[in-house]
Amino acid sequence: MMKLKINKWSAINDREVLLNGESKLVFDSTALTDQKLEVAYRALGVSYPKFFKMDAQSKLGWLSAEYLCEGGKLFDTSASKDVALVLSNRKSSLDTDEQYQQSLTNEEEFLPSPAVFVYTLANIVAGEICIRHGIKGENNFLISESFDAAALVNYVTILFEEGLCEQCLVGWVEAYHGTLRSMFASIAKTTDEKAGLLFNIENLNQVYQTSEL
Amino acid sequence: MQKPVYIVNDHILSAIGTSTESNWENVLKEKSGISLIDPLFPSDQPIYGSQLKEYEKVNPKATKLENMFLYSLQELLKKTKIKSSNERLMLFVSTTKGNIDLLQDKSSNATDRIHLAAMAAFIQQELGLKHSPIVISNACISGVLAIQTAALYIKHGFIDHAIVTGGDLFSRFTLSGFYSFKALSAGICKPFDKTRDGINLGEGIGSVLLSNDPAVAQGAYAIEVTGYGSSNDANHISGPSRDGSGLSLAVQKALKHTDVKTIDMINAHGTATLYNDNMESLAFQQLGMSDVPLNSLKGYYGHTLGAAGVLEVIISIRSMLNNTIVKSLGYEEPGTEGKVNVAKTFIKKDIRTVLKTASGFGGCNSALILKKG
Amino acid sequence: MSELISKLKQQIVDQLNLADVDPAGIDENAPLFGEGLGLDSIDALELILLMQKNYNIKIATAEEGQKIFSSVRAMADFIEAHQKA
Repeated sequence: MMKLKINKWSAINDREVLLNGESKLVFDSTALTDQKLEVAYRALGVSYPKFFKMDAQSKLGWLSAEYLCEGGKLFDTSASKDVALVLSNRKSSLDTDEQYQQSLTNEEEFLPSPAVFVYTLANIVAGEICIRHGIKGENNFLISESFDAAALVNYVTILFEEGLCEQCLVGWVEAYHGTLRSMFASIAKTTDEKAGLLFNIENLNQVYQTSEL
Repeated sequence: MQKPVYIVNDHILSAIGTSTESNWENVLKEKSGISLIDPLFPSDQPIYGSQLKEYEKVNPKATKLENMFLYSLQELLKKTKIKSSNERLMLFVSTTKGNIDLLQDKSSNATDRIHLAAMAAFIQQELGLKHSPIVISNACISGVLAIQTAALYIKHGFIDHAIVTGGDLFSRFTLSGFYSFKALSAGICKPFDKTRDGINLGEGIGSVLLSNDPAVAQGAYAIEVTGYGSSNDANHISGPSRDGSGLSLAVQKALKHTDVKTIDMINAHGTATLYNDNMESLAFQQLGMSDVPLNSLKGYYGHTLGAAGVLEVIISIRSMLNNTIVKSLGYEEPGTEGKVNVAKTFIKKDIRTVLKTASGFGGCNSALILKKG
Repeated sequence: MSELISKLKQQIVDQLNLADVDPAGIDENAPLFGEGLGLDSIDALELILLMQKNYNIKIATAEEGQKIFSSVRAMADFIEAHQKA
């Protein structure tokens, strides 16, 4: 019988970057959010100029995926259409919504910015990750009042059972008013029940809690 | 044994009607909800959109959008034997921006419901639904994706019935954003037409009831949801893919159990931007669907964002029940790279199988197959 | 002219968040789009904003923008012509 396992997971909070529970980078506690995100980007040693055009939440999600594959490839490109990306958070894109709304208050100089507006949708971070890793499979963005492992595990398991995906990246990503919180897990099929961490509600919750500040 | 999943009832609240019936009648009369509106900001062009003139204040504590949702859902619940307290019923909410007007209105006592899940929880509690709702916010494919998600929840036995409701406001926030993208039409939008010049935004609610037991339909109808799929272009965060390959991937998944030759009608996304409609035309051509009658309903409703997918599925179901393909309002002459068969008039035809698609910001695409029993 | 060109380069880097690009290193004769800086359709719209904000020049459509934004020098020429007019 097909089982699903958590291959590996990454997380970023205001203190550090984690990969499978191991600390990869500790932030200077006095650094501002933008500085933390840039430090995490520089530490990867990759060049991706588009990173600097992103809002904080997209940067956070982009980094979480990048740390998950340790600068390499997340998936085999030939499998790109069978890779799903299912993300979630509470705030949707509220951080950038507020910033964009602020830019509309000046009636004298009414110049709304398309580069800001485009990030006022929850799933733009998913788009950025798909572009970076060539993910062309199922997309979904669920909004919940708190981390909802049941909703994520149920939906992702259905996607596998339906044959709608072969691999999946699932997680939580939220940047709001200077607070960073993300957790991404890569999910794959396994026939070996003892191999790694099984993908279920309890384990996903545990991974999320482990990566809490 | 997995049971088939059916859409069994519906409700639309829009600028052209407060019931599905009145919406359908007005669509048949080619009545568009889009009109010239007061500018919500300094603009160098006239702004057209589809706005609700009035809406029923079901609940004094509710925001405008919540009242719209509550009205639509109450009307839908009146039409079914399923009680809102049913243990096997779950609500799925599709929205892109929810109560976005609260960002401007600091005086509101509903400020926490700027959070989409808090808004959905409020609606759930007002209606007395047992389970916490699932909220889907995936740009312009949210509605189609919410129907996919709900159908899969039922098919896999998590629930027996689902209400999928999609809604968004016509807001200064969103309007100014599309203005900044220079994506707004200077008149009433013309999906797939040679002279199309952009979108109109609109507002409204579309709500459907899904069930694995058509008996609960109380004689309404039973349209089976037989295919679903979504995809990402992995190309650009705002521009649609040039070649339509991303949308093709989603449609191919939806067609898993359906022969492409049996598709009687396509209800496309058809926003009337140059690039979106062109992308769609290339996708349908690649899929060998150039001759299948196709329409976009944006000429009637504008782009209603989180509502669009659900609302357009409902009108497509009316098409199936009445064997009438709706005229694609605003279309006169072909103007896309791919060949598509856009419905220039209302077409009488037996419609058994429909393909519904949507595409949106973030490079996302989605597709559904609906079948008449 | 050269003053305007170097000012424009800095404004482009700021408006488009080209964090790792040294303004002085931008070749004013090289195409802005396509290769080089890797700008896209959103950047083109942001350049329209830049022209309006800093030079009070309104550009109606993205297509019109495409010609004006062919290079930094072309932008500077356009601004100069506009200011003389």
